[in-house]
Amino acid sequence: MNRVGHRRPAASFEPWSSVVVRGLLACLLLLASVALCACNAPTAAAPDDEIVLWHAYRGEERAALEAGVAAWGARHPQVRVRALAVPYDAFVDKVSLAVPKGNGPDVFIFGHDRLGDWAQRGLLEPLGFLADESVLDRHPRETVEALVYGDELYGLPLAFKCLALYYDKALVPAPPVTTDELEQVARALRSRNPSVWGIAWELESLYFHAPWLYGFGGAVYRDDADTLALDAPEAARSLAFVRAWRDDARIIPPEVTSALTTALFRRHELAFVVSGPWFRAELSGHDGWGVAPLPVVSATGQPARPFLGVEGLFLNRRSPQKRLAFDLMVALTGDEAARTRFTSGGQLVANQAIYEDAGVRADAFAQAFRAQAARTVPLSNRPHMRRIWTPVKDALSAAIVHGAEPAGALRKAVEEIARVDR
Amino acid sequence: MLATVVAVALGTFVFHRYAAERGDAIGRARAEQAARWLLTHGPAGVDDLRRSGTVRLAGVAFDAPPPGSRYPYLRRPIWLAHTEPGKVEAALSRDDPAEKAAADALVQDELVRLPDGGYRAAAGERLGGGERRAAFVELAPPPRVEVPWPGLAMAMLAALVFWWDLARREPASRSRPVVGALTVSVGVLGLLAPRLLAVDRLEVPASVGSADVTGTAMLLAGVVLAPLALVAGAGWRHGSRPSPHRVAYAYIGPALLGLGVLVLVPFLYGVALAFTRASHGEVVWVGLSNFVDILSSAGRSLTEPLSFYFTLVVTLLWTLANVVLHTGIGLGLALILKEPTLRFKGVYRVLLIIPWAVPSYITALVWKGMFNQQYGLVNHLLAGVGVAPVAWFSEFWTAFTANVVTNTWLGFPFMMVVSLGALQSIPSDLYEAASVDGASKWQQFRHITMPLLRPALVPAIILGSVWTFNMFNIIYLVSGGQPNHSTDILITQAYRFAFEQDRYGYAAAYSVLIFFILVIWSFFTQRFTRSEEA
Amino acid sequence: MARLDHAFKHVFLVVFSVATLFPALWVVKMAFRADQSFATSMNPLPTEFDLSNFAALFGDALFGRQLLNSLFVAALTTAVGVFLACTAAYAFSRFRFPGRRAGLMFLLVTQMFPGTLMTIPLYSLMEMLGLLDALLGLVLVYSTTAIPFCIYMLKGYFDTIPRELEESAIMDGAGPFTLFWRIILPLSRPAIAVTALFSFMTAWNEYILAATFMGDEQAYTLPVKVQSFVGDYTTEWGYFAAGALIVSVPVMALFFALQKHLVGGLTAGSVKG
Repeated sequence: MNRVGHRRPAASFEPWSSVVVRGLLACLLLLASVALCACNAPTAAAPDDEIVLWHAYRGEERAALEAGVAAWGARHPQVRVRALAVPYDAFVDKVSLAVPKGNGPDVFIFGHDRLGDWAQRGLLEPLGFLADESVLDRHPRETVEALVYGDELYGLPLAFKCLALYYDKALVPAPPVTTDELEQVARALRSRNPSVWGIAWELESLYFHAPWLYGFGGAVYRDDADTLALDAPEAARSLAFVRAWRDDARIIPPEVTSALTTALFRRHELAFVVSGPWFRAELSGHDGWGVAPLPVVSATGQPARPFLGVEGLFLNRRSPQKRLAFDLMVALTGDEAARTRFTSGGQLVANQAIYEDAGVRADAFAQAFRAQAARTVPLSNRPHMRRIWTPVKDALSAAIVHGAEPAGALRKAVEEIARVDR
Repeated sequence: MLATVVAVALGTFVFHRYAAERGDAIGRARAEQAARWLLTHGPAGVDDLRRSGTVRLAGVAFDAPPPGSRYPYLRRPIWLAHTEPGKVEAALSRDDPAEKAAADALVQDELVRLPDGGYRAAAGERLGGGERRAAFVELAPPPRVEVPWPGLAMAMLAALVFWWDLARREPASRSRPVVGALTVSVGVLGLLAPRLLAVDRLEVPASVGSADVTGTAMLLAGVVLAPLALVAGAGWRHGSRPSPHRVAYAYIGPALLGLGVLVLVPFLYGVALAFTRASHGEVVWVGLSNFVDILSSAGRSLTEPLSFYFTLVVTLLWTLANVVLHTGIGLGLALILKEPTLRFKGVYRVLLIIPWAVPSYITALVWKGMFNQQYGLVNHLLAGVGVAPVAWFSEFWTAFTANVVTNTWLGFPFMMVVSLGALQSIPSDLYEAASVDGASKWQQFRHITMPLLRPALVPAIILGSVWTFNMFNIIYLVSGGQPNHSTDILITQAYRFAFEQDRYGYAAAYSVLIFFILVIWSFFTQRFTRSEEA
Repeated sequence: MARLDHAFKHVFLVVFSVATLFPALWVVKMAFRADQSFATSMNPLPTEFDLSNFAALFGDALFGRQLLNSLFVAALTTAVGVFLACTAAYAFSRFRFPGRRAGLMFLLVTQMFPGTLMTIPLYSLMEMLGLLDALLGLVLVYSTTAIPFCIYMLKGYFDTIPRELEESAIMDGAGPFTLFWRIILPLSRPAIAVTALFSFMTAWNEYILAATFMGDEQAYTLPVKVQSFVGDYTTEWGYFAAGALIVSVPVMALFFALQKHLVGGLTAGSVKG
């Protein structure tokens, strides 16, 4: 067939082809000229009095934040404030790309664990000149310290997150104070009804393992903060402890996903869940549960200390309106806005005054997390921390779920991290 | 003529970008340099600058934590010197408006470009004990570099005359268009070069403008694309009559141009990134060390799950299993559903593309739930036929199977649709003739369907295999690499390095290796496409 | 015989469709449930019929705008992608010219470099072209993503169209554009339908680039909205599932509309004619 096709006379193209070729070339030139114009045209400068805020909040949290933004906007009629919700998945990329190019927001909200990376790359404005003591005094000291990198303060705390112990009031009348007590309760429940499990959390995640790691006297970094402490015997002991609960005491369901944890807890087939404030949303419409601080590790007598995560409000170093933007930051982290975020947004706000309110004093949920927050370890905000998660997850997975020897698995993780650091 | 215009437009475009970026880099660098100089010279330097008049504004400040502060990271500036009279104040109270203004200046005076094109830079140094000294400088805008339009037109004219002359003398020469295009581009470049050099002569410190990987990639792409455009443009003027090829080029031109820009730049960026490593917020050139590290499987034995070679084998298995299943199921369904007389075929077709239509993020997680050891539907069904519950994600083969099953479910509708389309290329009278001749269904399939389907289906299979090779989200969501990363494929590893550990250079090196593996693979598949084209 | 054959096919198709739909039923279940947790029950059949998720989505002030954005981007991507792919595939199928093989190879090669790190350079490119914050920028990126497959698919299909048809048309004095427009394209409707669906899907479901490039919620596409229900610790699965269903409906509608072009016998008919 093809042979025939080749014999077409070339002349038949002539009249038509030149038209198309010209047309296409015209398009090309047009495109090129458009591109040229786009380059030369002065980039439309945003009006001086516009403040843009990026966040990844949803639902009520978002509404509460936007109420705070609107309130500030009402006090500053000459300023146009705009809050943009960016999907969490795209947030880090978007900030990391837009801010250096000068397309970023004036102010943005994110967890403090990214702070070191952003500060190192010069994306964030240090607040040392802008803030003063009266601003910082509103917040618990540890939430402010979490936002310090090097010797600069880079953000104001909006809210905090940490793990605590959720318990089913129908199965457990009072929360246990020690791990031994917890194990006894769980064993008793299981022997009575084998379809009921004792306790669940994401076994393979360092974030969820941290309470036991610190409870056993271990740590991620040594005190000098430069070398890893994960291969210390205390860390290995914490892994063995969890494995014993899973395999010997059999109080932890063997394969746990967060969706399954929620479902079991709602069905009263799970006595305890280690989770954070976000778990409350999963329990909407479900009653008969309580929250308590995590227990004391019986083997060491030390409390299980989870990581403390702080949601910070950061100032773009390239913002043309730093004073004004900082004014918005102070307002949004202020007690008045915090009260809205606490009551209608359900956030655990980082403002001391809120927890002293009479209404909040009676709020067991808030008080349990506030108490737990005092027994936490701030999540490291150094960029190096980002390299820790995956290797440690592998170690946890190997030692707790797949039966590897804890000390060996941890040593392997530390070696892996060291190899990457070289 | 047209080729020349295109070439000039492209050249000018590149020049414009270059001049603008370079000019900006220079302005910033000079402001930064001045600020640093001022920092070391202190208040005396401010006096010097004021007298010399080389800067618009300058100032030196000293800052320290307020005495007795509970927060050592709080700071207050104290002005030591300023070129603007009245700004120099010392030890002012916090409420003093002058000091507030000074603080404002320091806060605002990062390295910024002013609306009039000038630059402002601030520099700081730590003095120990939480104290710092800072300086800022404001510069007038640097001179602009313009495109020399009249000269450009003259050069074009000269080049054209030369070209035309050449064309007259050697009408039969095949290299004529290339020579013409080259002449024009040399002329243009010759004209632009001094300007570019002039831009560069504005004393740029070596430290500035490095590590802009994207900019480099764009410049490279411009350099690669411009001659391509020239040659393609020259192709149009092949011979005294328009060559038949130019029709073909006109047809494919727009698609390839778009692809060229939007694929080549990211590709070059990725390749450049593969030779770097991020270290303390800086991008450092590390040569081949990422590749060496990966290919030497980084101190692991070759058969260990995290080694490159183990992952490569898993990736190949994964690709093979998926492509076979996608094509088999998709084609089988298409064969059943192509029949015009079958009732409800439209309904079946629409129902069967649902896995493709629903966003896979949620359906993949549904599948993960179905494979749960204790509460999953799969084990429940297995229990129905007397099989003990399987811990799907604790063994390699079961976890791998779970991934493949999920991805088969997600992927067969696409192949079904492609096959349905491809099957329409087979004239139905061939089947009629065959059944008249008494050929069985299988014989019809073997001798009519298969050979005639190939041209339309093989490309989809080849591209499908490439996509499956690079499909990260299913494995990431379903098995998550469990157990111990053994079910990870190359791309999920790369993804982990990039987004879990911020090792972008390392991930880019993985991507480059994946690219080369796929290129090698495509050489094998070329046989298919070639034979089918006869 | 044929009837029995059809009966078997129906039985098979029904069983297969049910098996296929089974996992998707959980999505339906989650969409029609009031609570936002992930459904883990063994039973995928919806147990309640609560429309609050849909009400919340449709009630969003920007829903209509974002739906329009999505439709605009996907439709334009389909138009641009299919048009450019048709012309290019025609050239690759019918002409022999220097660089043809290289061009085909280039198309394949473009699919080979993994896209994980592409956001960064694409962002810079879009910024340079002034297409950040512009839906047209998304159209540009999506069409170039879809084009290589479309060209390959269409070229394969064009290759199967007998040249005798064109020969006879040339005898009648038709130029290449007439050949392309009056003969090749109408005969290739099945393949064009497939590529159109593919281009549409490419643009319709993408959210990472859309979320990164667009700086205003007015300019978001629907998948960005749907993906924003996924948070760092929790996901609002009810909203997400409802959004996923809303997002899949137009795809199925488009396929339903396109499938009348997936009927056989066209080629045969025109050969005879």
